[in-house]
Amino acid sequence: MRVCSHCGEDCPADANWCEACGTDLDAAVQPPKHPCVSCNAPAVEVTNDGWCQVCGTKQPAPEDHVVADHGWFAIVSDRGRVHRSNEDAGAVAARSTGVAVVVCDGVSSTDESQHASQNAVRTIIGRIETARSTGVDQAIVQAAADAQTEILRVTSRPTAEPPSCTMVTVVADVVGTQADVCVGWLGDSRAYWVADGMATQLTRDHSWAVEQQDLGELDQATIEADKRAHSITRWLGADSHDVTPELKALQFELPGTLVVCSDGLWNYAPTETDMHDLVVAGGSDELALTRAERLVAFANSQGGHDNITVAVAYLKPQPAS
Amino acid sequence: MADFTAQVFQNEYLPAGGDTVDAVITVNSAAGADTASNQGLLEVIIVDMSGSMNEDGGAKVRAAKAATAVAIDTLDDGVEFAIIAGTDKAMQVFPRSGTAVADAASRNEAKKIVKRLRADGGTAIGTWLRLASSIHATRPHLIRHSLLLTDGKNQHETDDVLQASIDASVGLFQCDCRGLGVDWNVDEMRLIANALLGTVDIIPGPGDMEAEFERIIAGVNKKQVADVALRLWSPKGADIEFLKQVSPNIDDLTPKAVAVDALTDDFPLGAWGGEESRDYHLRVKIPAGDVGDERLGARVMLALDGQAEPIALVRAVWTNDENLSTRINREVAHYTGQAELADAIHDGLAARASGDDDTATMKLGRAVQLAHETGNEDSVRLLQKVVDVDDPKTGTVRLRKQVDDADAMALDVRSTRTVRVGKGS
Repeated sequence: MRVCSHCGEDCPADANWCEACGTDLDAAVQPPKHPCVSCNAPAVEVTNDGWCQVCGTKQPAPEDHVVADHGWFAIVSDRGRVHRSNEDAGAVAARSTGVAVVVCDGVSSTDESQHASQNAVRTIIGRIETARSTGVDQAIVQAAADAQTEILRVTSRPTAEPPSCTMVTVVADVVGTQADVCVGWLGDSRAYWVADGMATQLTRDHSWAVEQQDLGELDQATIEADKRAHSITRWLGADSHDVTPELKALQFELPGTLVVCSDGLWNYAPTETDMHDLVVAGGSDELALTRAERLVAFANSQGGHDNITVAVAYLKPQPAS
Repeated sequence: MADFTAQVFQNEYLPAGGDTVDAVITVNSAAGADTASNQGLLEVIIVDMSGSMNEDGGAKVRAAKAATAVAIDTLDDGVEFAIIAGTDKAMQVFPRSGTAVADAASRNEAKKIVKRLRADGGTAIGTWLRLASSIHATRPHLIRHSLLLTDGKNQHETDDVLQASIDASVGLFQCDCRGLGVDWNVDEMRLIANALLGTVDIIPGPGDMEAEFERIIAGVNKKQVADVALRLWSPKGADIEFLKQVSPNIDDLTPKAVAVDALTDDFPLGAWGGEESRDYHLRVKIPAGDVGDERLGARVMLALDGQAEPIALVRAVWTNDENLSTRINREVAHYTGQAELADAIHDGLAARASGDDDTATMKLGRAVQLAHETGNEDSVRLLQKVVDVDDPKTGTVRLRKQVDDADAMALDVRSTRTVRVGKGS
């Protein structure tokens, strides 16, 4: 016997639909609840609107801490300690000879930017995981254009601050003892290659600070003190005039570690040296997921002022056949 | 049945380690579509017929009878009612027993009997309350209200007897208390009104009585539901520091808490009309969370007839951002100021009565300053009858040499009346 959660009708155990009111009995099943994250009160104490009835703690929303683990590569996206929702999104996927990674950071000053970042990630990863190795750069450009189309589709009403996000896409394919790495980006989410005692930043932020550095009219201290320093100059979204990502193709000797992250992490490790020391601090045996979780925890321990997304992939030479 | 809604005004952001959550909760009632389902009313009028009512050539007793007649005429058809004459004992004068239902005939009969009443004897207010309780207790399903008029102090029974009578009346009926002239005791009437969820005010002279009785009964006619309670759930380890009604007047509900379960308390709000709005200030201490955590400080529910409906959430979010955690919520600040104003008036008048002019000047000066800042013009006007104001901005005042007793009492009883946010300068 199954009881319809909508009308209370007793339905046969094998019924899919309530005969009385037509409710889909499978769809109406409540999502599973977990014990309170704070006081460990049993799941029954957690209300449907997500509060613990014992200690009052708001239970995390599903997107507050998202994890995908594939063994040698993994991604973690976390709400952080300050923002009330996670507007970052990210995805990782295996390719026949490597890995594809996308990280998008919803611009927090704009409305409902998680719609932008989530749609962009979903669109881009679908295009990139199967893209041919010879045309990865063009695939990234096309994926960004498709993501823009998707974002415009969900931007339901015209607003002064439409949903928007950064984008960094990395495809790393193993060819013998080398990795062919192609990076495309818009905004200030970053990719690093960590190997041989150093971290190399593969991206260059599209930000006011970097633009000023290029102009060379202001000294670095003045630039960093300016409240516009972190304003991004390129992005995906209805108010973006150019969504063609900046592209870079590089080759690295293997093995090496690919790290892709939003500024929620690199704000606490801004230089390549900082990032290198942070990434290797967990030792050489650290699993990809453990490493990503540790970097997220580090950002949270530093204040977690923004959403934090970190992808980690270990790339090794192809075994000689 | 009335429908209840609520709005919460708070700064939910707390600094690391912060554990005190302040919120102003505005509760509104809207008349339900089905007015036929409104609860019936029982009004028991308690009118002082002690010998002192014969002073001033009988003007007081004549005015009391006339005002009671106005009250009887103001009752809506169908309202149940009874009249008690109070002296050093209590006597039900209409109907002889039980209650009458208001219609043309019962009103005329009641007014005829009231007209024939004679003032004689002492004052034992506890006996009045006990008789009123016994009548109200027979009608638990109705909205139960009394209007109590006295012109004197509770002279013919001990304070203990009065307190016991008040305690025995709690929950049986609500009571609005009015003092005629200046020979009654403000603290005594406040004791009764606070316990019985009513108001206190002064009726300075016999001529003001009819209008006041009409106003009170007209308000009672509008009540739709009895025995409403604000139900607060707060987390384990929390401590409700206070829950005060702060509008239309200040009334500390904290000691009235009735435990529902380990984490939940009911605070009785009395009867509600269909278009009412009252504000409550809650301060709750909760175990501090980590920076980034979000917790409930309280879940606010409205309890009625054994059913509780959630109407608002009071939240706490811990942050390192001082721009957020140091923000002052306007409503909370406003009512904190109104409470300080009431305390300053009360303390200032007490100091003045005991001859401590320095303290009285300082406290009443602060009261003038607060009343001015928050736009509480009624309090400014009442204060000006007790002090000469040199500068309301700095609270510079001088005690007046000649103060009418009625003005000092009016300032005292009305000190807890508040204004809402937005009236300030």
